[in-house]
Amino acid sequence: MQQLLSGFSDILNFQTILVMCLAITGGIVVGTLPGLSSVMAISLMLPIAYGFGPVIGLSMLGAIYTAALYGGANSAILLNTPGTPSSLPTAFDGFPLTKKGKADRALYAALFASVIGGLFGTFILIAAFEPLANLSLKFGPPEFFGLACLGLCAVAAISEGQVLRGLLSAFIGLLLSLVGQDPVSGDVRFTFGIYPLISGIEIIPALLGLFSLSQAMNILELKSSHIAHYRAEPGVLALIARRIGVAWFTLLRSSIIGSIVGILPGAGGAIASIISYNEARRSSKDPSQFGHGAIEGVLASEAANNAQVSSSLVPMMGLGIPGNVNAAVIMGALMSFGIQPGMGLLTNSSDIAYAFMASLIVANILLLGIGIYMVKLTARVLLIPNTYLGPSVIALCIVGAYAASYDIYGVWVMFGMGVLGFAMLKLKIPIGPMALGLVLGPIAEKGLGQSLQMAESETSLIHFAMSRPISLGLFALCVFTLFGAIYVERKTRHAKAFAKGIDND
Amino acid sequence: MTLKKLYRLLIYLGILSITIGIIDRFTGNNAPEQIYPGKSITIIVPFKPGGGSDRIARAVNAFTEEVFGREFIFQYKTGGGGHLGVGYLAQSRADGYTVATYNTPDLALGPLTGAAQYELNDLRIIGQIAFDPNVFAAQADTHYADMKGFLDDARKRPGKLRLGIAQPKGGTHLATLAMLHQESIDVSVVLFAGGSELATAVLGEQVDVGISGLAPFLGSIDRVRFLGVAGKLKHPRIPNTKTMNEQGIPMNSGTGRVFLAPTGISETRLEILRKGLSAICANESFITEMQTSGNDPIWTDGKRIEAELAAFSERAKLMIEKYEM
Repeated sequence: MQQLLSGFSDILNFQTILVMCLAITGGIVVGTLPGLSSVMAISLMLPIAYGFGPVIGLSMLGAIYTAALYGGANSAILLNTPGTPSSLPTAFDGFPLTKKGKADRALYAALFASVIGGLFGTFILIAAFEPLANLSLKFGPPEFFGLACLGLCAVAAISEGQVLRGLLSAFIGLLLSLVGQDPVSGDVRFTFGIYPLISGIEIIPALLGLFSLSQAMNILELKSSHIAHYRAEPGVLALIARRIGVAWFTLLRSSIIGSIVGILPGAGGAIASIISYNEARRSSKDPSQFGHGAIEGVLASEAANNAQVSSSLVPMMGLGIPGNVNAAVIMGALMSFGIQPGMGLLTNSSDIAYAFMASLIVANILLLGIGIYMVKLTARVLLIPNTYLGPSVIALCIVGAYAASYDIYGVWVMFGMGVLGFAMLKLKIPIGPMALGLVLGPIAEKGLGQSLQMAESETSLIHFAMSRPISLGLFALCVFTLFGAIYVERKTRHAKAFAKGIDND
Repeated sequence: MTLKKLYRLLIYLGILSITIGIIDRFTGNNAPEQIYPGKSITIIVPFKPGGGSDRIARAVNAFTEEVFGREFIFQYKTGGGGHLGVGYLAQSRADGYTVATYNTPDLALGPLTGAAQYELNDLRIIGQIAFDPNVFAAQADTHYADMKGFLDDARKRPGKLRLGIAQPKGGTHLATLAMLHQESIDVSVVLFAGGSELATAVLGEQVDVGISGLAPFLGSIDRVRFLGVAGKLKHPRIPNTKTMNEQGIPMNSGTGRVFLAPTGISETRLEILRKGLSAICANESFITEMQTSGNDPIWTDGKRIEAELAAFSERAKLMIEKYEM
């Protein structure tokens, strides 16, 4: 505690706070623009961070990471274009709210949920990153396979009323995820002689195409002049604050899910937000609202999304092993400052480690202040006529797709996926499950492949499976999720039938 | 916009591009040989920013201004285990203004396994600035004292032990398969995408022993027992760990950090690059900088590495077939 307080005193000075405010503003902008990702933002700022020295430099990187992951919610809500896999479920309810003219509700809900989730994840990081890093080691390949399967079951579960279409979409996503190098053997497959496909269908260009480009084409096709009617709603802040009071349990559960999944190296934010979204829907009194503009859906997805920001730093800080690309970049910065993350971190460089963790708390508080102001600005995107908005989104898609891999190949992937996404929009096949299939496919495949290699040393596969209780637990949750989905579907159908019955009376 | 205005715009654009072309001609690639490098050299890093290769390139870059008069321009071309970026270099102009950083022996293996689109002949090696020998590691409370102990146990219980290897179809994979074959050992091999993933698996006891570079273990070095170093010499960071050769198991495997240029680069320019980089490698502050991230820089001239790789490539061709990698 003493050390944390001294960490605060290291960063609570004018210069650091000013740099963090700028970083947060920049982070929100980068996160909001479709195609520009948190990884790109922190990699670009890396040389500047080196110039600032460890405390300010790391505070800046942490602030950008926090703000950029929140910013992804804005484009998901306003344009139905999630820029990162982890803000996918935010669009499920955020965009319907926008269409109903209630964009500010969704935007503020996303902001509050992000800050609450972000603070929760940071407290977890501070309280116990060393023991949690050890806990993350319990997750081996069979557990990752189980986790990815759980994510895929959640995909099936949320495709309510159109389960077959949802499954078809997820299946296409899984198929596309097979392109490139086999994650276990390294064999090259399904590239059809197109060499750059060796690294697979890259996620960021693919998401840009599936959501942003297809949406831009859709915008240009619309007869209306604007995406949605928008007028600032008076008293919306108080309204959302009350909703948060009611939905505290959803937020808590989502923050816990986000933190747990965040700790696991390589699992990724998409699993966290999709599982958390599905849990919120399953336990909701009125699940039929989900997908049609439920504030709880936005809250659940965003709280989980930002809870995993800080918790994803756990393995990096506790073991010196980065769990995702963002953590890898921050670890690179730490090492360039001569700090070796890992077991010795709290003994050798505790001052900087605590200053960094304190800065993550401050970043979330600053995010709230700056975010409230910026929501008013970002919502104005809806005032842009479609004739300008559509082409701008397309331009951003091209820039983002190129910048994702620094190669024109990314633009082609984006374009191809955009056409596919547009076709799916027309055929009324949901795009979300496909994107999740694309993200979860490699995690599931690698988990399964490595598990099978590990099982070779056992007497039988069953024996191996029985020796992994966490994996078995995850598969039990898969079954539970699928049955839960059937239960929810029945509940909704009954409620509809009941309502119909009343109407008939 | 009227047609006339459009024409005018086109003419302006034409004049602008011609001017840029002229400026480029005089400042750019056709600059006379004696002032090479006359402009910034672009370095292709075939991995994501912040990774091991990027850190090394950035460390080198801190001294390029002293040596070449200008800093590098960084370009990241990721994908295909780094082969994508190297392939891009192979197709770049061989004017000495585009170089790349990559690893051996993967540079020679990519063309053989089909993971790369370039040939070894498409590239010249400027030099190798560091070599990280691979290490065999297990959890600290393992009952194996060294690799000999592990292999003896594996002989007694064929197929029952798990050996993790970082990077499928890479140099470590091939060298480890060769060692297992030579010692007639039957273990369950589990492949991991990279060093970080392998280190996590070793610490979490998903495998009995794992092999990769030392760097991913630096953050948890007290929780790991190193069973052997697969290099010719002991590793300065873990001086108490015996080499594989000392344990009577011949094996030499590791990662060389090399700088590359496309074939066709003039010998004079290649020589300037070699001299410059070797000077950086000898710089005391560079050595300290590199050591913080777990690398011990020793310059090896590109000519020697080129000869070694060509010979390795011939051997590897047969080995890949033999071990069905």
